[in-house]
Amino acid sequence: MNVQTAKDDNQLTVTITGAIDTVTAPQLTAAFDTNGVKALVFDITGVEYVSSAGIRVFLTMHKTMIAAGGTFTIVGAAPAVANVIRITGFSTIFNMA
Amino acid sequence: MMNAYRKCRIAIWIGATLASAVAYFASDAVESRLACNRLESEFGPAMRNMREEILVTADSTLYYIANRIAASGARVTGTTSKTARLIARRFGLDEVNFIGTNGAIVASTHRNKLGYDIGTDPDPAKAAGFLCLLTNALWYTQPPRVSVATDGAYRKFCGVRLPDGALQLGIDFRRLNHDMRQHFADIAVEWDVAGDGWYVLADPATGTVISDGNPKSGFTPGTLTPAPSLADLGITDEMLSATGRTFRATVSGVPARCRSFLMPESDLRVVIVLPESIMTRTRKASVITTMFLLMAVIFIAAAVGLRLVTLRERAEEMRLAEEKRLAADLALAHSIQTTSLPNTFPPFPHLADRLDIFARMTPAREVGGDFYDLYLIAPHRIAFVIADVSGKGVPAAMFMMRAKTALNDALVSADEDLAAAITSVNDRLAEGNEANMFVTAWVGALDIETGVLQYVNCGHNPPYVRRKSGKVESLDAISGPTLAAFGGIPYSVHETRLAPGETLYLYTDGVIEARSQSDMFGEERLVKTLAAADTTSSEAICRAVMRDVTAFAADTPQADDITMLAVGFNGGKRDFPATLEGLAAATEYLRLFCGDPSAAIIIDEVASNIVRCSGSPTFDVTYRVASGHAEIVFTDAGKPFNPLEVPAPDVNAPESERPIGGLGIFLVRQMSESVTYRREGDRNVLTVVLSPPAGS
Repeated sequence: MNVQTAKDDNQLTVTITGAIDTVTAPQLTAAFDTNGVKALVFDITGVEYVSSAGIRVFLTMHKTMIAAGGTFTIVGAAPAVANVIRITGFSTIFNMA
Repeated sequence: MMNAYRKCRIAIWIGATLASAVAYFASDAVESRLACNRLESEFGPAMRNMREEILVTADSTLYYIANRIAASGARVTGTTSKTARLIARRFGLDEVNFIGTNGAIVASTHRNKLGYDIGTDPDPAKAAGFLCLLTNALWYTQPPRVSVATDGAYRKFCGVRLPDGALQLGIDFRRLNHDMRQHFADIAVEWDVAGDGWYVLADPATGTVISDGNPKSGFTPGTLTPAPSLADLGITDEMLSATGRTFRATVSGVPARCRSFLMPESDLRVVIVLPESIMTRTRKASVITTMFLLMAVIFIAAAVGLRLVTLRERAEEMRLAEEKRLAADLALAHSIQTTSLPNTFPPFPHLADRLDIFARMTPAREVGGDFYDLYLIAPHRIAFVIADVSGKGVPAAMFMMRAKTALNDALVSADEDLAAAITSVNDRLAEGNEANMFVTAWVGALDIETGVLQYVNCGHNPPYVRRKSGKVESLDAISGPTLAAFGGIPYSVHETRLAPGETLYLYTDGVIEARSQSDMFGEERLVKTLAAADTTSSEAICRAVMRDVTAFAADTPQADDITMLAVGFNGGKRDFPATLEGLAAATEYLRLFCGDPSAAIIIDEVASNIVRCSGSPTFDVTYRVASGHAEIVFTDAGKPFNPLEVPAPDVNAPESERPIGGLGIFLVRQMSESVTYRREGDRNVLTVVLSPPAGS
């Protein structure tokens, strides 16, 4: 997995490539800080697959941002990834763009 | 079935019997001819003897009469012609002359003889004969002759000496016969011909029998009234007309060869009768002798023939026994050879879920030079070989065992360096290879965790791989020349990879060089058969090729060994430590076989569960293709734990009520065809059957 972050004012865009799974999820959460961020964007266009560990990262981010009065947006989910989000019932909760 | 030797024997017996029969008849015919000739030869002397006898008898009869007259005191002096006529009547004589000392006839039955000087007889012998009576001789008989006085009849004269001259008596033979039969009647009775033959004397004018020498007739002249004729005895006039020639007749009931002659001097018919039994008797002895000799020759020949037949038969029997022994040896060799090849399938039962191996060798003769072999060279590595030794039969089979042993020794310890192992095998086989044998071989080493296949091809037919796509691909890289041909040659190793569900098919040239009447099976047909097989089963593939080759060759006999080996790689299995690193490695490992994201998610979910919760130090992952679908099997030695019993999360619950756990196994179930759990011994076994890829 490869993680790149870009900060623009109070919007943090995290561009992820590879897979988000049990092994990579801790690396992902360690790769950025949401302090002062109002809008968190996960660009997962380059993500091959997301396991439940990845879903948990998304959920954690979602809850954190909502609690901080911010937003969490997932961008560029490939059909396979979108499918996992759909199956786990998060497609209506996450803000998908 | 009757064998040839028995036929020969019967033929010899029949031949000997026929030859004997022919010999019998031939010798019989020859001997008959000889016997007949012997019989014929009896007639001449018999005839001469009888003639002599008749004349002697006539002589002695006349002399007897003359002597009686002389003894009665007859004198020349004072005897008149009248007295001469009286004497003639008294003794039944035809002529009586009294001769004076001067040689002149002084008294005679015939007037014209009176005064006739016997010394003037035109026959000097006769003249001398009777004249000598007047000087020194006591008696004299003259051979019968035709006299002037007898009208051409034979007359015989005899003379005796008287005190004063001589007495001359003459008698016609006709009278001798008629009136003095008694004298002749005994002749035939006393004499025989060649033992069993006899004479018959008869009056030629009437045919009346005078004397019959047949010992059985007991004929005494005068005792039968009337006396029998020759016709009564069985001798006809027609037969008698053959004077001087042999004729056949049944005389007094005895079959005989006869010959007759007339004795003009004596006016007698003489018949010589030789019973045919004489001929038979003499012939029998001869025939038996000849037969015995011929039979001896025939049976010696037959015995020699039979002996030869027996010797040939014994040689044949020995040859057959030798052949049988050789066949038994070959059958045993066949058994040794076939059992020396791995022929229990699956060869590695503990790998049977990932390796599908089948092989088949069909030698053209009892033993062949083809072979294949299988080796487990490391827990995760197998090796296999298919090879074809040059030539066929026993030499090929012996070299095959050598090559097999050398390969076995090198490969079981080959582990990593396959090329070095083969190089050493080649050196070992090339050494002392006086017979210049060689062997083509294709050696593969398959990593059963990854499907990586290393191979060394030593001049062998390139094998084929049935790819997952259905394409049949030839592995045509060459590593070096055939084994055993030259030592000191390095062999190189090549590499490819088998994906789960792919099958490697190895064969010897007996497959593609199988012949029909006009064509060879060829590689194209082989590729077609391999591509057409609607199965990944190695056994089914081998059987399909075998069936097509057999159908193609039809009745054409198999010329070369046909050998094939199919190695199907159905998937890999590897152990991992139950750590995050192990989990990453397992994910990476699975990518070798499957690029599908679902599979990656499944392995992440299940393995992370094991790493987190099982307490097992390791776990293993198997990816396998079986009966058309792919499955991943996880096992671990942790505490019994069935993840399927974890309640499914409520994915429709409000965000705040969502539990953070339980999602993983839920995802696995959602993304797979089926998930099953079982406890096997002290291991948890979770089998996840993957959904078919989208679009298939």
